[in-house]
Amino acid sequence: MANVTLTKVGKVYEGEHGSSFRAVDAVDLAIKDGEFCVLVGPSGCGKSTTLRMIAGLEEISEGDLAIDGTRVNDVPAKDRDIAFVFQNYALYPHLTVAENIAFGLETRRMHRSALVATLTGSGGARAEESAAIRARVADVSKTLGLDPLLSRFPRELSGGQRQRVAVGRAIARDPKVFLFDEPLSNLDARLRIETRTELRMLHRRLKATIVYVTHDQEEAMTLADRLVVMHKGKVQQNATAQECYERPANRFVAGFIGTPPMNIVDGRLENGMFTAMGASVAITTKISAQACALGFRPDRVRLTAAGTTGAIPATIAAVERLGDRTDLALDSAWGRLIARLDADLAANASEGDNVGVTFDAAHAHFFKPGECGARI
Amino acid sequence: MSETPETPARMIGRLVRNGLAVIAVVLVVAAFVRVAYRTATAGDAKAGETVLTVMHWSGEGGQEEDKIVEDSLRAFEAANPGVRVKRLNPGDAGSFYTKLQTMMAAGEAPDVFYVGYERVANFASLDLLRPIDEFVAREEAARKTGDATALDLGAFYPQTVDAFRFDGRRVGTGALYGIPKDFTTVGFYYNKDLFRQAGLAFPTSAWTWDDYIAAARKLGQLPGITGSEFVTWPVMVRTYLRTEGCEAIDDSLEKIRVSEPSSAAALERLRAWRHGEENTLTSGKSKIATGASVFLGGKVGMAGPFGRWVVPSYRNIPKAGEPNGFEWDFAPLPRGGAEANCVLTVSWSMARDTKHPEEAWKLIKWLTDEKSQAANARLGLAIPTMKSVAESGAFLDATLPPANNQGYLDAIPESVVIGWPADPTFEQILGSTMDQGLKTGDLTIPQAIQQFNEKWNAHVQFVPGGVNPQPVRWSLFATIGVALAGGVLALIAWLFLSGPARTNARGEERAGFLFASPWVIGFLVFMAFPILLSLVLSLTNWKGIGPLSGADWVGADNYAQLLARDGRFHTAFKVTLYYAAIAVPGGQLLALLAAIVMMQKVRGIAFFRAAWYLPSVLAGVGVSILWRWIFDSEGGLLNRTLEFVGIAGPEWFGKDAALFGPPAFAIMSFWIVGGSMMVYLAGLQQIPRDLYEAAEIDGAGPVRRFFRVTLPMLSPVILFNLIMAVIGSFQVFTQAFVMTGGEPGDLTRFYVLYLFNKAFELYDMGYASAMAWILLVIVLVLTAVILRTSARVVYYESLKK
Amino acid sequence: MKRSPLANAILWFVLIMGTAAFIFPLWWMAVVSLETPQRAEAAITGSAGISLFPPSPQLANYADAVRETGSVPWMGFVDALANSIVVTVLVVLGTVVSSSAVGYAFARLRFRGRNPLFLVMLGTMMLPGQVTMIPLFLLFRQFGWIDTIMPLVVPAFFGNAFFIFMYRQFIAQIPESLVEAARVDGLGHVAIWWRIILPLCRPVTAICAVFTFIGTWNDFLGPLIYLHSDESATLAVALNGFKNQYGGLEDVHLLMALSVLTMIPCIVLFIAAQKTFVEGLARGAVKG
Repeated sequence: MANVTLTKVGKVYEGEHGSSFRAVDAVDLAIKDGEFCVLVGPSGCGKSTTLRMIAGLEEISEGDLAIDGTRVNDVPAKDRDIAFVFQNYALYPHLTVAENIAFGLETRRMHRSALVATLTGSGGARAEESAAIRARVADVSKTLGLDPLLSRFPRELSGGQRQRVAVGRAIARDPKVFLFDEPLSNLDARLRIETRTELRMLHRRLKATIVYVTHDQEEAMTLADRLVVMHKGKVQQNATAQECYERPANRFVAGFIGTPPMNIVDGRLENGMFTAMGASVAITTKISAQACALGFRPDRVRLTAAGTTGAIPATIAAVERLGDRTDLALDSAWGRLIARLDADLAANASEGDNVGVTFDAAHAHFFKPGECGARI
Repeated sequence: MSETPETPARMIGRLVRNGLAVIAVVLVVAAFVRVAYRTATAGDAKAGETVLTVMHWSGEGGQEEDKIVEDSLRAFEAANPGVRVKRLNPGDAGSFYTKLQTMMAAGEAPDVFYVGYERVANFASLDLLRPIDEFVAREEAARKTGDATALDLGAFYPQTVDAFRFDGRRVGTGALYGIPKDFTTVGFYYNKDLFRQAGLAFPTSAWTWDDYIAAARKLGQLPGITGSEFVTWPVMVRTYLRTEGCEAIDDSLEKIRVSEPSSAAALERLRAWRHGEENTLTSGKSKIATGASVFLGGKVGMAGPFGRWVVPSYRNIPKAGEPNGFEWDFAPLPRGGAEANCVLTVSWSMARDTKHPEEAWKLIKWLTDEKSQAANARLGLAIPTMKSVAESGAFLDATLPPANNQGYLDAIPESVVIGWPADPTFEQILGSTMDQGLKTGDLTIPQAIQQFNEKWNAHVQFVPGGVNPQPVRWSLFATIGVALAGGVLALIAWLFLSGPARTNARGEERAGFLFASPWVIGFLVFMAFPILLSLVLSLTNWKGIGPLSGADWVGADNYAQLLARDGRFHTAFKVTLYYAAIAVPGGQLLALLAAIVMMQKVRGIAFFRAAWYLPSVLAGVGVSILWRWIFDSEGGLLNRTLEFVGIAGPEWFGKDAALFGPPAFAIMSFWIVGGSMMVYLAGLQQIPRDLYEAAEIDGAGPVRRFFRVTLPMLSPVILFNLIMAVIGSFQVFTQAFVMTGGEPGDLTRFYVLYLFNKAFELYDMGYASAMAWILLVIVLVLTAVILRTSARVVYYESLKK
Repeated sequence: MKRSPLANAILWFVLIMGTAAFIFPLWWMAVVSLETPQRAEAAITGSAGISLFPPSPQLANYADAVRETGSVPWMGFVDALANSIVVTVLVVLGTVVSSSAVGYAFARLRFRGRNPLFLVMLGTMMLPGQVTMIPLFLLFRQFGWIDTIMPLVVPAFFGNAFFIFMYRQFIAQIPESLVEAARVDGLGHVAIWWRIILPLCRPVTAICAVFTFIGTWNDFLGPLIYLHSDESATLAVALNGFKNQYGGLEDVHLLMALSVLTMIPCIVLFIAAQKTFVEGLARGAVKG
């Protein structure tokens, strides 16, 4: 296992007529040995490009990439000792499951040709090697429960089975680093959650260094030892999932992490009052008076009767009952707000009701204005 | 794999498949072993052994002639240890010449081969034959010293020997280019039983054309009988004219005489017999049974003018009284205003460049000596050229028909060798125009004569490069070529060296160069270079036999001649265009309709698809042979089918060839629309179903859906198919070559066939290259026109990226 | 969509009549090839009706035809068959290997000049072969390749524009991730082409191989120009020679027999590859 270090890594695509597009911008990242690092962000944020640069599938335009302290910018993918699990699994359609798993081992064996091995008298060594490959395949297939599928072709497998084969193929090689590119996005919701758990357990067992890319923040949070939130080619926050949720580094992270997303309102903080769109709420904070954005998570919202002083007047626009809790969409003086309540608290809520909105000021977040305004 | 139970049918299927695979592997391995073995042993002539290559034909003589030559050669080998003879026999005379000429073009002529007297002038003027006067002189000297085995030219019929003398302009005098092996005079073969039936007296040695035609008319009145087959080969037409005291060209070969009133009148008479009356002479029916074999069926009273060569096959006619049998005999050529006959003869000749002239001469002597001539005479194929053999029992065998053997010999005194200009184009033009005047009858005699004059004048007046042409400055072109090649190499080197700095991209680019290199090299060597060379050649006059240094610079003369004056080229172009005008739209329409039929969901549609496609995988010589019979005007499958539905079918390759010849090839091409059908089918299946569903919901009926959805979505495929079909339609060769050879006249001489004739039979490589370039321009222009006119109606999706 | 009974009747009529038109000539050919000489002649000249089955099949016709092919009994045919097989196998191999390699380059490898080269290649598809026929003949004559199979075989190893195009279109549709997976697994470009791309291209390879097989097997002009001696003739040339020698009515049964024989490999191949081939073509395994 190994650590991976990115230093000011950037990717610039040269377009025609001299135009260029910076897909990844000066990414600094130090992934520790055995760490499960998830790159997350909306599509086009540069996370996949970053992963592919680590893999060696994309040239690195700027900066340095090191695996185990060795600079590998110019090392071809096959020599970086990484394994890559593709979004569409990229199983070789003309090979069986067993052959797919063994493929990477076969290409790396010392004795490529049986004929040469026989002629040079190293037939025994070759046989030994073959036995080792077989054993490894058996080992992996057992770990992943692929035994009954070994002689099948990829087209005869379900999506989940294919996904497992793809993981098996990666494991078989026992690489320094595992790279996953949205490996669960082609599975249905239920299977995705199951597989997510399996992956987490697998990681614990293998103690492998994993770099994992997803656009699904929930998946990211459940898997990650370290969460790297990216947007527009830049790292927005690099921290544990918990920290990203509780102390988002900027307004983008705040809006991206957490479901439903945080309510964020642009306004002005002055004299212990936050005012936005003509409605004000009293708030105790040490932050000096300034124009800023106020954020509070939906589960910190409290509803009061309509007309309560200090509450933002609102109307319930939609009620989404999720069983144990209920999400409410509110049309308020601050625009659309979302509230998440325990189901029993919202039992009587119905669309069209007028209510007042308050929130838990202790858990309010303040950001500088702008899309990626920093946390204050 | 899904586990399906093993049914017996499945098992048999697997067995058959595996069996076939095993057979295929065994065949392939065996074939490679065989070819490797042959290649390895081919070169190993034993030390000191001389290998001579001999080529001959055995058209009418069939396997017997083949065997006689074979035996004779083996005997020669036995008598001459150290000499091995390799024998080639391409079949009939036509394919013999095609092959001989391509071999000569390749500089690989056999050492010893047959030469028909009519080709001597041509071959000798192209410097392909070795004069044998030195050997004859030596024999003469040896004979004087009492060597009995020495060759004595005096023992031969003098006409036959003179037929192989050529002085650079005329046949008959000058250097000797071969020893005649045999010869024949011509006349008519007649069916004695039918003569008796019609109450006719048998022909006498003094019968006239009037007697002949009267007999033919009377025979034609018998039910189901045609009076006479009259072949209109150029030499027979000239012989016929000679019996009326006229000719197509005078003996000096300077003056064309075919347009003289007497010639025209004689031709008019022949045409009237043939096309003016029913059942008197066979018209130009596109029958399989052409020429000599018509007679075999017993439905024709007379056939000719033929020489002796038909006798071996006629001897297979069962005796009178047996089924299909009848009695037959030979009648001399009828006389007209004059008495005339022709000597048709074939020699054994020697290639100019033979490496073993001594052995070759020995072989020629062997093949024309008394013993060989006697063996040939017994076959009955021709008259021995040695008087002693001709008048011996070997030839005059009374036990075999024809009874009138003497008839051939009696004609000798009035027989002459009919001289042909050294340029074979004369014979070709005379043949094709006379075919159209006499055989197919689509031209009147004045028209045919006029066309002959026009075409011949255009040909003889064409002096490429002027009277004093300059040799091609090859050094200039070589310099340009080297410069171009250097430029290309420099470009490649630059591309290779200057690559992107990043290693991955660089590796990918190198791999790209490596993988693309087969095509790039192939393009440069097998396309770019030949195209440029072809362009240069098209500006030269070059007989393709010698080295390139013999080429003369003629500028655009070839193009001017082709475009402005070469009537045969215009005919070939028109024939091809006529064919394309039917084959391309018809074929595409049929293919599209067939594809739509194949889209239907019907049980067993896969079978129908395969069945309709099957003919497309067979296109080739076999299919051409098959279709030659299908288009036969009488027994042919097509005309019989048409008859069945009440239509009298045309004589496709006979008298209706002008109108129906090219369409016949188009019909044949419809049989192999499977390929286009499959492309359309693929296109149709890629049209998304929901488009149709959307159109249906919008209320569009099937017709509207076809025009509003299918056609627009399919338009790129149609365009692709159309362009390919247009290009293909200008490249018809195999069918025409095998089925008709361009005949009758030039009515099915397609563009590429004419190009082939010019390049590999007349060796006009420069001229043929110009034709190829015109073809290229035609194809490019047509493609451009199609692309341009289609730009608005074709819906593009691909070709972006 | 449901067809009306009338439409159904018309459809079946068209299907059956079409099948008859496409298949019957071949059937008729086979029938004539199995007739006695007299009956074959009668069938050809139309003096007898069309018979659908030969009353007493003369298999000996085939033996006779084989024996009489070429100038050496039996061996003439054996040599012609061997030549056809060798030429065809080599041409198929060369075409598949070279065309797929070049197609891979055009589809997957970035190199300068790729697009202009690709356009030139598309352009060459329109080039009539006759333009290069004469200079190529001179070139091969210069190489001393006349009367060897080289002129027929060697150019095949330099790719065929049409099939390169087919391969390129197909390879371009293979997911990029497969190639990337192979790169991660340690394959170089050659190995990716050989071990990943080629196996995946099986539908195209089937079509390319069958088309090339048929085209080469049936090719006539090439062997006619380049092969002279009887031993090096291919079946197509031998058949034409046979036609010239046995073109008469009395031997029509033999000519038909030999014609059928030369067609058999194509028919067998077609039936064997029918599924991949016809269905592959029809399903549009190949776009373009």
